Amino acid sequence: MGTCKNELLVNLVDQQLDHYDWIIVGGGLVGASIAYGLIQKKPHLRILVLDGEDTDHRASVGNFGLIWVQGKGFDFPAYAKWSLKGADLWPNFANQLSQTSHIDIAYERRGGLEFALNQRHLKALSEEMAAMSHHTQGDFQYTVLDRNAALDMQPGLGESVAGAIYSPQDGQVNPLYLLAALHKANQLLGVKYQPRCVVKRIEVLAQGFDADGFVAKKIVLCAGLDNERLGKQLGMHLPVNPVKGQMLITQRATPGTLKYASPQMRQTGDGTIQIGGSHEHSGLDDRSSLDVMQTIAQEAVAVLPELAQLQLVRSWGALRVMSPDGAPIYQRSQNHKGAFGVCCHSGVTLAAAHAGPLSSWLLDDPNEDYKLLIEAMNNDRFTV
Amino acid sequence: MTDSLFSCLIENPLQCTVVVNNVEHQVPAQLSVAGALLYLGHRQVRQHSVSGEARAPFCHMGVCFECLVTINKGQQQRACLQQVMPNMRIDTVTKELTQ
Repeated sequence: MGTCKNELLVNLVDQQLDHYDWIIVGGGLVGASIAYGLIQKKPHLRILVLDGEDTDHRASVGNFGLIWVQGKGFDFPAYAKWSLKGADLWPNFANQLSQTSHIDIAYERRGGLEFALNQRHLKALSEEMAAMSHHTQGDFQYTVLDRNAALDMQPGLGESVAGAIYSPQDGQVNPLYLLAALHKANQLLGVKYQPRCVVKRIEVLAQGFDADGFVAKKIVLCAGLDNERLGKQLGMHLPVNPVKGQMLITQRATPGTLKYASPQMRQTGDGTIQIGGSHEHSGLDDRSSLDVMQTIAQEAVAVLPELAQLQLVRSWGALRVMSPDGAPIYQRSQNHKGAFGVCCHSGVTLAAAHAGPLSSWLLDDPNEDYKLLIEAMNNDRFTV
Repeated sequence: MTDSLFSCLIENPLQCTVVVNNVEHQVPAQLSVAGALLYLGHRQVRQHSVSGEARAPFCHMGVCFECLVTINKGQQQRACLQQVMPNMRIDTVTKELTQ
């Protein structure tokens, strides 16, 4: 028996029900999306989500909230197709999730702009977009905007903006409401949830798995940065590293101050402007720092000078869950049938894909096209 | 502006002249700008930028940003973190609700 099971204060899990069909290790966006997908497809399944401590590193409560296609997988065709399909599945997913959970997750798909601060950057971005369009047989849509065309879409741009890429396929959502909606929907649909349960040891049984005393036929590791440690216990190589992003939030501004989302900034449904886009390799240190806050604020003001008039109300740092090439890892354990690992940094963009085709793949019932895509993102690519 | 819900507990406070939305007022000199606005009977200092709801000083400790006003024509700032100064110009960000 593991420590979690002995905690009397947690009564959310039916202690009588010792055997589950599925254990999902991790209750962030990835784990919650997969649990949601599984229970929707097979409502009779007994599913248990084991979540960590509130103080654990949680990319799902620190992220930016973009459903972003531009540039994803420009050097990895399967990831490019997967990101685009994931974004295309989002409207139905958002609709259904809002109806089930009665939570408005502030989803919108008005498109996104990535700004270039010089011609060289604009050219590099254009080449990435062309590669993505090629990988997706033209399904990925984008426009390269010169400075004047960019100004037509976003008035008030700074002098240094050379142009932008626009894609109508990008969108945004409130990531905190998304996570809350998934958990609420899962609870309503009968998924069991165990908080404050950092899984220490997973044992392989004759038929199934024992995660610190919780037993299930199948298990999916969705534990973010902890996947590497847990994967080893099931014979899976799941290489992930933390990449810190820092974020700033301004006071509420007039809606439409930012017309479109971008990787550096977006205006939330509440009017605040979220500024981010930094990348730091600083281990598990997720603190914000003045120099990086200044840099991202300066970059945002370079794009849109009027932002300098706004007061900042909050800042934080969070750790991305990054594989060596930045693309997701979808892994089926070769040694232990029924064990899977899912590592990804795009828990928002891919939430609909995880609830949809990935869950079907886990249930061994995938559409063949998706099966090929998903299995192209296994960890063979990291084998030397 | 309406009748104030607040009164000053200090006896015979030092007075300070401030100009709120172009009107001169005398307020106790120890007050924060947020305190002065409440003392003068302001029940709204701004509107929520999305919903348009009326907003007023809430936490009085710099956290909630509900009391943003313009002081001496500068950037918007938190009224709760500034003490009133003689002849300070305070502009609430939106017009008062009709009484």
